[in-house]
Amino acid sequence: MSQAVHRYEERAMGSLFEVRIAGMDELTARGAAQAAFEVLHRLDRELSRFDPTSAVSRIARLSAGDSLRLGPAAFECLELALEVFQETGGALDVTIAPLLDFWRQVGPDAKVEDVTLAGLYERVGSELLRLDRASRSVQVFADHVQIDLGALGKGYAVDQMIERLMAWDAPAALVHGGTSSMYALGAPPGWDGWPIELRHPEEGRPPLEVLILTNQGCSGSGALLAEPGSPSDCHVVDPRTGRPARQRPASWVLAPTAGRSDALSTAFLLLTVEEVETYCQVRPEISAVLVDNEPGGLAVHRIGKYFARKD
Amino acid sequence: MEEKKTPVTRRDFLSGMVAAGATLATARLAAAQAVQEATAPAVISSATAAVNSAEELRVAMIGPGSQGRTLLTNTLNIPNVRFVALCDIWDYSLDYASRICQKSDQPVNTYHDYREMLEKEKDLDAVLIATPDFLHAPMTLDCLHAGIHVYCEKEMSNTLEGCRQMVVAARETGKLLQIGHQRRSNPRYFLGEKLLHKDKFLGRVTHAYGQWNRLAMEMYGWPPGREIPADVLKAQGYDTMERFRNWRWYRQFGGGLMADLGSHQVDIFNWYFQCAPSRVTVSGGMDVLQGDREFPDNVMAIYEYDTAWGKVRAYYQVVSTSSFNGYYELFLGTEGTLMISEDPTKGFLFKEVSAPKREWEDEAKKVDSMGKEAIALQVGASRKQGEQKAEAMKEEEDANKPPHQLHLENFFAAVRDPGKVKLNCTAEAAFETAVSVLMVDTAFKNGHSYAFKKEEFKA
Ligand SMILES: NC(=O)c1ccc[n+]([C@@H]2O[C@H](COP(=O)([O-])OP(=O)(O)OC[C@H]3O[C@@H](n4cnc5c(N)ncnc54)[C@H](O)[C@@H]3O)[C@@H](O)[C@H]2O)c1
Repeated sequence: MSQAVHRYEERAMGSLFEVRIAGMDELTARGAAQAAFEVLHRLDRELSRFDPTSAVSRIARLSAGDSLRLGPAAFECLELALEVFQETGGALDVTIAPLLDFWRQVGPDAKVEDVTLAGLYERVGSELLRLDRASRSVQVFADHVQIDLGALGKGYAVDQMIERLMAWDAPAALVHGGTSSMYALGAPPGWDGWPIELRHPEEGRPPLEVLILTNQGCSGSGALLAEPGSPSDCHVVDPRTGRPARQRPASWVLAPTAGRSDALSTAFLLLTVEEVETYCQVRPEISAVLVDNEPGGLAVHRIGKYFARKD
Repeated sequence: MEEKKTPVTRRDFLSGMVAAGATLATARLAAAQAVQEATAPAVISSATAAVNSAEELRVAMIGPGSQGRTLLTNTLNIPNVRFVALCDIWDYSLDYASRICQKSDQPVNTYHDYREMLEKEKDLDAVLIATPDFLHAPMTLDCLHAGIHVYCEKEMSNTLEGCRQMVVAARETGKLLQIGHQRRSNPRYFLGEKLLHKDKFLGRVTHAYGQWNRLAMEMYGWPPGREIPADVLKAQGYDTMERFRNWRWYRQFGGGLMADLGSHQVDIFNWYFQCAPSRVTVSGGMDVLQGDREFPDNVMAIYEYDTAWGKVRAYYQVVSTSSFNGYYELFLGTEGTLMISEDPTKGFLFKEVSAPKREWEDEAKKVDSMGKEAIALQVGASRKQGEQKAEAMKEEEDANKPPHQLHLENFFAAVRDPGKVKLNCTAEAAFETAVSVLMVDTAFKNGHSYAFKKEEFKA
């Protein structure tokens, strides 16, 4: 069997997706990648905020109390989003768009009363969504709830693409969406897994960590720091308070699926190190790398079984 | 990727984690619960009731390949329709599609032979057929004669005889047969028709232009080890896996680019011109692509129509070696031009300066298209009031459903209530289109031109 790693790229969901396949002849690998990209483009249409026919756009046109039946992809993405919302006390909230728009307009330093935020919360908060398994539908409890699956859609797509590659019997593959979310299937010939570098949040520094991943999803979130310690890039709106908060510069998550690692890597930007440790104890299949800005410089926390095993 | 995970209850986490935003989060939780209590019970109970009621349609699909999966996922968006069986000779397709059904809690029985499926699945309300074109006629006939309504993909058949048999079978059995020209259920296309005929926005329509450019140069492959056994393949009429996967390029199985792509758009010509063409003149050939493909890789066809407006000429091109500008149709008249497409970003009206002004023009949304101001083609968008407003909003929402879903909804509505709901694409209508595109092949052999006879369009 060929030792080569075949690489294919296509653009979707605002990112460049790449499929790497090892241990397969080129013609078959190309067919497998084609099948994976077919899935990607289907999902792009179904989950996009910009396509008026997508499930997400159709939800945004519902009125309070309305239900909409969903196809499997939109349903599974929302199911995952609501689960992570609950597990993290709301640190990931796919309905946060109106708050982001608001703070973008007034600026992060504006003095804003609680009542103003309470007004915005009439359309924000994942409690405004209820999934009904039996009818495979979502019900909304406010008018025009805007959903943005940006925090997990790419990871979910990576998982579905991997599922196609497995159906094509690809022995080893790496799929990623814009390098922020990936899944490593098997290992390239001669390796124990796919080597993945975690980029240092400061420009020009050597990688923070090199992971060797097999049958695992991995995602990273955060901002590249312009200058060491610069806080400006680290402001986000915390869905739990509705106010700008400092997030940590970077977080990476390893999980059994890329969808979950994608969703958690966003949530983990806001949780404390202790909270992430608790999470990874209760959920031993999750590991994380957190980077914090501390007075003495950047602090790196390696949490969970993946790192325990290595020590 | 399926998740296997340690179960975590909400309590496990919340106690430790929610502290950060306790005040606001608790407040909005309470608010949301209040809304839920106010609205939830009625909606949920009706939804659950419907799922369990006899109204649920039981549906099967034959040939859940690439297009079949589109129909499948679109159908899964529609309430009260349940897949109970799938049939495909290829396990790869069968596994893929049954997984999708499984994910939507619709476990299905799977079959390799559709006849066995029809025998064993006793109370099917409808069958969706998405196999290669040459199988449409025999499969549709068997389903209709078994008393089952059929949604069959275009092209009706790759032979005129097959198309004819389908029309006759639908007529004789009295069962519904919807053909998959999904633009016929698209509110934007209804609006286009109204602009041409009722509003006469284009004045005297003189020409049309349609194109489908796509880059499709490679042959399809298959996963190693997932070949259909040679004897099964032979028995189903395919000589090799290559041909089975790339059936579109061979006369035995398909109708070439005009049937694959042209058919959708020539169908709009026929619909909008309210008649079938009188002549077609063609060019094209196997100019770029290699191999043993039997159909041209590009076709240009000029259709002539004798319409109520007088002579209309319609140019159509389909190219498989360039994707430039994708697919759309243009209708040109003495007072204006309509650009329309299944792609919702391609919908405009251009008005000639000399044309009379419409009272709604000033308020219509304007967009820039190719450096000129154009009126955006928008369904339902309106300043309408009361009941009209509700209707306009429903239309607008319909216009924003996935295109195949609309056509499937029309079919399922007709299955439920054939007395009230008419099919948007009957076998008769699709037959006219099939004749219009299948005769292009004859035109190629006939000195590049073919004069249609009126009676050819009647099955
Ligand atoms: N309406 C549209 O927009 C649209 C778009 C694409 C294709 N189509 C039509 O859909 C049909 C299928 O096209 P496709 O691109 O999905 O082709 P495909 O080759 O991807 O799928 C065909 C499926 O039929 C199965 N099949 C073949 N012979 C069979 C048999 N004897 N019994 C059961 N299953 C069998 C194949 O295994 C495969 O799964 C064609 O008629 C095509 O013209 C319509």
